[in-house]
Amino acid sequence: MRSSPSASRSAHRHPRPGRTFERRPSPDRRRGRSSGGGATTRSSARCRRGARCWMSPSITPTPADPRSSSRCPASGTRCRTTSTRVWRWRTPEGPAVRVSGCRCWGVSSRTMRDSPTTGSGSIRAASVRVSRRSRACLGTSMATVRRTCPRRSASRRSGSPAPSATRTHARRTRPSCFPTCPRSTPSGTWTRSARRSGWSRSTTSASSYGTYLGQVYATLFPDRIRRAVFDSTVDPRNVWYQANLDQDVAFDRQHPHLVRVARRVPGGVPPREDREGGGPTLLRRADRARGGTRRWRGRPRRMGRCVPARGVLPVPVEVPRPRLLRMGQRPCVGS
Amino acid sequence: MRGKLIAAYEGADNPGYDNMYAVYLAVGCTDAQWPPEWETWRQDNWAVHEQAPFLTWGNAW
Repeated sequence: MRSSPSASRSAHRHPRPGRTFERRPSPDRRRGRSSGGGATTRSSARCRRGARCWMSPSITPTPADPRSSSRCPASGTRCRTTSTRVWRWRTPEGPAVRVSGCRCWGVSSRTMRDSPTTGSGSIRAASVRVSRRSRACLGTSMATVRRTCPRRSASRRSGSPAPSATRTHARRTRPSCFPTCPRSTPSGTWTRSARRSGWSRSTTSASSYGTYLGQVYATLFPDRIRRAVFDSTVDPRNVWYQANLDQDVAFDRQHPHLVRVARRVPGGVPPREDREGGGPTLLRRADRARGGTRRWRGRPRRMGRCVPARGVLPVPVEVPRPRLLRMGQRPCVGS
Repeated sequence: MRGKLIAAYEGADNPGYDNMYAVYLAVGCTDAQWPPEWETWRQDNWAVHEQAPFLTWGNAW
């Protein structure tokens, strides 16, 4: 499971705060109090580099990160700007999409760092440039689910289901392409986080599980997603049993390519360092070996044209579907 | 050798991940329907295992 920074640069080229990201006063702010019950003090802070970050209150700030980067004192997020290339799935040999964004190390990256082997997925910080030197980011991740689940249980115990507007909307408009569309705790969490942040639209980058949520959310609420970058996508039509079977075959196809890439990197891929750094570690080492100028450590800085070579990132290949495509079929093993 | 094996395992996973995995499991279980019959799992995964032996059974959850 790999990750990529978020937010399309093209979306920021001509910032139009009034149109592209209509900031509206949060209901919480209007009421002058926080919502959601419990400890829900919204964190909002400005980084040293001028980024303004909002975090869902349910996201615990990350512990001290060895990497030096500016830190929002209230939210605990660490932000830095970087840029990379994202390949279009349909045209892997075509032009790359240039993206840049504010990575919130304290939010979704932590999820990816902590679960490199299985990849619980994440939705990375949505980011948008609101002025020449200011960038706002909205972070949400699987971590937000933790607070939501008990609340659902509590409402059921009290006998008042009281489905949220999001859940009701999801039931009514559940698209046929998502037969198993969640009802939807993650989607609802996303909606609430976005609402609290005051953004009506967001630019999102998601990976793995986050791509599932992102696709469902974008289908349910197409007017709330401006742009999206999905990395390591999950086909939402097949979650999760069939998707896992497909993933098995896809991984087997991609694994030799990963090994080839790792062999080109001096020292290979150290497990521990790779676990802590994820994909960027591999890319950083590869870039350093090639005499590149990518700099990931030290104070956060704008990366300019520090772009990994085209051959470094795995290029998605057409993965044949496994022979067993439908859940419930009883194939004859060996036939 | 045994120490290295344990260290490798603990380097990839440790009890500190339990909370995250528990939430992940709960969300995954309620996201979609899963085949209730173990026989379905067994047959499907063994069949896919023929094509993709590296990940199949490690990814059967």
